[in-house]
Parts: sequence; structure tokens; C-alpha cells
Amino acid sequence: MKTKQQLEQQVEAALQALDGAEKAMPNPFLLTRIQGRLYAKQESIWDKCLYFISRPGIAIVVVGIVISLNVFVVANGTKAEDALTEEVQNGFAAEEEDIAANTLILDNENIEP
Amino acid sequence: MNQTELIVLLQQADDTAFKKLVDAYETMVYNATLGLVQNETIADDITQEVFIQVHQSIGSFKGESKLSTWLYRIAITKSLDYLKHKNRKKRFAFIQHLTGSNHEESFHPPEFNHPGIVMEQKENAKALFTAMDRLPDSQRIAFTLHKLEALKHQEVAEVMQVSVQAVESLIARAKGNLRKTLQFYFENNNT
Repeated sequence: MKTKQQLEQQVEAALQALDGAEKAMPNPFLLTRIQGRLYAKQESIWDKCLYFISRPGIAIVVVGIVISLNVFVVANGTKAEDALTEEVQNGFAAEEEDIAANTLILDNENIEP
Repeated sequence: MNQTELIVLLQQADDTAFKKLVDAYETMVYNATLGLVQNETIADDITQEVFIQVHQSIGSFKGESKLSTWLYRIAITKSLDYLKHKNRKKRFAFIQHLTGSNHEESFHPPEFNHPGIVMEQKENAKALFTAMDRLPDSQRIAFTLHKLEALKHQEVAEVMQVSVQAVESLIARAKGNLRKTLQFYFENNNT
């Protein structure tokens, strides 16, 4: 069993254990490794882009967007076509009414006294 | 070559200047990181990341602080990121241990053996590093920079961007917490 004094001495000794510690030396090939990693980063930007695009999740999302755009364009195109047809038909109807009215006027003029 | 010239050359992506920077600061960055993460392989990896970040963001360095201060800040940020990640993994391992899904995973950290400590102090240093591992981040940073990196309170304050009084308070609190942890450690350890 340690006495309180022994314990305090041990704690104080441990607190001073780092005093005078020498510097640890880093890996001698640190610079080479850093340069290697920097080079790999520069090289792999396009690789990363290709990898990103070819990921199944991204590919599915892109295909989904393309299909949605197609559906949107086709649906809008059909609506526009319907509107055009209706307009043309309305135009024909108006023309027919005009012709009918003109014919009546002509007929009134041709009535014999 | 003075610091301003070195920074200008680094901003021009000069390879020789970058080599000089690594030569001049690798030991400093490595030791600061090693003191915080307590693992030589991880410290080596983080040191590489620090210099890669310097290479990529030297353009944004305005020279308002010393280059060494900036390097310390990057090293500390990266070390803390690693420690946060490690603690998350530790918590997950602990939960796995409780649920019985992972019996082999150990969540007790291995004792760290700093290569710069003299033989007679190895055991005490191990106990101290284990206790430092339990300190809150700010106390741990202040204590490591002051004790292991031998930075003055003023320099620690510049790195941590706090006042000198705050640094003194952090170191005092760190010592108090370390005393408590070490006392418990030695009470339960027969050596």
C-alpha cells in the first residue's frame, strides 16, 4: 500500500516526465511521400470525374433526368399542338360564318322586285 | 531566405521553396501532431496532409501570423479531426461490444511510447500520455504545445488565438485534471 506522500511524488514525477524530451524524428521519406500524393491528386482529377459520372447512382439519376425532360418536352409539344389545332378550327368556323353572311347579303341583292 | 521571400516563392509554386519549407518545419509539425494523436503512423500521415494543405492554400495565406503559427493551426485542426473520428469509432465499438455484435474489437487505446523520452521516464510518460488522452481538447492542446513543444504562453496564445491569461488558465486546469487522473492510475497500479 502506497502512502499519500509516495503517491504525490509519483504523480509529480509523471507530470514532469516530458521535461527534456527529445524531438521525435519524422519519416526520412516524408517529402517524397508528400510530392507523390500531390502528383497523384493532380493526375486523378479527370479519373475522379469519370469515376463520379460512372457511379451507378449518378448514372441512374442522369438517365432519370433525361427521361423526365423528354416526357416534359413531348407533353408540352402535344398541348401546344392541341391549342394550335383548336385555333385553326376556330379560324375555319369564323371564315365559314363570314361566307354564309356574305351569301345572304348577295341573295338579298338578287331578289327580283 | 527569409520568411516573406519563402512565402512569395511558395505562392509562385516554386518546388525548391516547398522543399525548404518541408525541411524547415517537418520536425515541428510531426512532433506537435504526435503529441496530440499519440500514434507515429497517424502523425506521419497527418504531417503529410498538413504540407499538402499548405501547398494548396498558400495563396490564401496573408502573412498576418508567422508561418510556424499557421502550420501549428493546420496541424492541430487535422489532429483534432482525427481524434473526433477515432472517438466516434470508439463509441461505435463500445456499443457493438454492449450489444455483443463485435466481441473482438477493443475500445481501450494502446499505451503510447514517445520515441523522444529517455528510458528512465518511459513508464511515467506512458501514464502521463494516457491521462492527457482524457483531457478536453483545448486543455490538451495548450498542455501539449507548452510541455512537449516547449512553446511560451504567448506563443501558445497566438496559435490558439486566445489571450495569454486564457492559456495560463487552460494549462493550470489541465495540470489539475492530470493530477487527478494520475493519482487514480497510480492508486490502482502496483508498479
